[in-house]
Amino acid sequence: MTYPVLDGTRVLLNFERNTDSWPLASYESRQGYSTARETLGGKYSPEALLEEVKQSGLRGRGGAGFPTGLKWSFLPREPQGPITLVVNADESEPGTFKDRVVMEENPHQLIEGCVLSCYAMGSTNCYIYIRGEYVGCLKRMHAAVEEAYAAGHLGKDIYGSGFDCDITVHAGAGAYICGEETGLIESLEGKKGQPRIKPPFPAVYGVYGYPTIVNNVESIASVVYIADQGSGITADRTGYRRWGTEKSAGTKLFSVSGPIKRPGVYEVPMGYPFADLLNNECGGMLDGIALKALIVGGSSVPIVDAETAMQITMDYESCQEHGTLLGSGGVIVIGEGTCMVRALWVLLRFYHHESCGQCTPCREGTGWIERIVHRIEHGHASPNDIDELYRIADGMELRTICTLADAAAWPTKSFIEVFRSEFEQHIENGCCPYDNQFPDPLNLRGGGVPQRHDDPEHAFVP
Amino acid sequence: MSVDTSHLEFSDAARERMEWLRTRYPADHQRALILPLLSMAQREFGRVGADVVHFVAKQIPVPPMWVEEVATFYTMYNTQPVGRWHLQVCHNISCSLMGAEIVIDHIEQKLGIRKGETTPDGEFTLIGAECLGSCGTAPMMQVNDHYYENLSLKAVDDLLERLRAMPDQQAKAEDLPHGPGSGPGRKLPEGSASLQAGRGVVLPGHGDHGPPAERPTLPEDEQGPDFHVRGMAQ
Repeated sequence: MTYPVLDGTRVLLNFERNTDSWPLASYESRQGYSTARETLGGKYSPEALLEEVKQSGLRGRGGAGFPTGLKWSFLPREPQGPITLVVNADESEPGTFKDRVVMEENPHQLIEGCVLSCYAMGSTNCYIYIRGEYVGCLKRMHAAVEEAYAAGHLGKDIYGSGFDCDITVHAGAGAYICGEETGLIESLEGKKGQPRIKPPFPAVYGVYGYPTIVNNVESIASVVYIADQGSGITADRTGYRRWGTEKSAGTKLFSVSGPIKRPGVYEVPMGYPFADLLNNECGGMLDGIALKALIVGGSSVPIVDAETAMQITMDYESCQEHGTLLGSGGVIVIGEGTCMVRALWVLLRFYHHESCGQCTPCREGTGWIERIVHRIEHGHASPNDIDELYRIADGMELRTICTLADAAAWPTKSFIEVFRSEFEQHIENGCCPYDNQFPDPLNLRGGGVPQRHDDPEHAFVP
Repeated sequence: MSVDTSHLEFSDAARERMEWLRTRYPADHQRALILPLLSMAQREFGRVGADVVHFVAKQIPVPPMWVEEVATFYTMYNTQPVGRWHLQVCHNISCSLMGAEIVIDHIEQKLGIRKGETTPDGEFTLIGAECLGSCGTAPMMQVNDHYYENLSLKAVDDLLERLRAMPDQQAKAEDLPHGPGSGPGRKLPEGSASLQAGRGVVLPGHGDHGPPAERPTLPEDEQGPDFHVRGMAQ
């Protein structure tokens, strides 16, 4: 199996990306489902495959970065009820659109990943929970699942191995909180997507009370490569671990947005310098715009300034060293001329809107800090509002059932830490120095048209 | 039950889909059908009012309250009527950085409505939406089910004009993204759209990856959105 492009190889976007890359025939022409066939044919026992995934160092790609193999090993040895795999395709983190590309352009790799993962964890039933807004993905996945059933890659007794696997594509209905794994489980059961208190963890008590594993699309799709090429823990490092660092193995999809020349989804090895991602893959900033700040892993992670951004390498350790998190890989590039107070207000409006209302610090706090930032942005704030804002954000952190409150608090605190002078300027001047608006990098007002630069050498957005 | 649902009935295609859905969730956990059925009902009846809630509850069957709490929790269920075209302009961070607020201002001026309002003729409802996963193609908006990406103001003008001229379309259950044309081992209904498509439906801006000389902001097909338009039912 060869994976062209980028130091010769890729895990997820290992094909020429076009409209015809998704059907079964296309996937099979690049050795699709050969891994499932070999695995079910006896290449791995379920235990061996689980061990391989563990050894690969694959970490959950949804944001938290929890080791995937370890998560699987939490399943009880004598489960009460059927084990269920749930694929989290409720991609709603602002700045993140990587799973959409996998589902639209390479859905069969996700399906093959589901079969392999189910095999490893002893499950026969899988739900793919896709956010309702992704109508394109929903249709694609339905069509792909249908194809896979018809071709015998899913269903009863796959390849005569005696192993059964069913996949159901389930649509959400618009709620960010359903990206949280227990919120997603509640939603899948037909309830409000309000996260559950943990423990018990889903591995013990998940969907319908059965043992459940919830994994991100990208994680599950990566399992195909790991099963095919091995974990790469061996000395020659030929498998998954040939890329990345000790704690961040493999490759990762980064969805890059903002005023750059080639926004899109790129697969690069972990540990890839951000500066290279920006200047090579993304073609650099739009002409005449300098980098001001960077949100590296989706809107929930702390923001960093341009100087720090240029030192970051795209892996879990480096991001943490520089005071931020790799998160979901939703890289948001912020250009010079952007009002950071307004940017924070836009984020907080989102978190206020999406708070599920279950825990008081989050329900009340998100609205409270949004109002304060709105006040600062419009010049009605008093000087101690900044400290008040920081204090409230601090008070929200780690005091709720899920991490949505943290996700609102982290950007708030980091925006103040990194760009405090801008907040102060708003208050001193009694108005927004940027005139209460974002810049117009595309010159839309002047009749500008966004440019899309498709570069066959690189991945691009749908 | 005090709410009359006798005027509501699923189309044959929708009912078929519902029966298929029943088989995908455990018999003792049919509550899981609430979300898919509400989405289907919204497409069939235009919006999710109290009558639709009771109707869906009766189909599963579950207490109407269970359906009600779901219908009011998720943003995609329109408990209030919306215009024929639901303009959902993403105003989250990535889109804002690329001019989403300019797009929203432009639409507001053009249609004479503010965010959250509907034009008096019932044609357009404008809302600011949260991240729709199209950050690399910002600014963007979702109109009913369709993504329109890489918007310019001219593209918005053209789109509004085309939408206005476009005839209302009937709900087509074949196109619902809540179930495949066929379940495993099931015979496909003849002439079902998902069958004809064979390779799924490529949405404009969603899969059309030909290297564009100029920004392909609008879909070429004059048919526009290939499925249902939310109407002002009732």
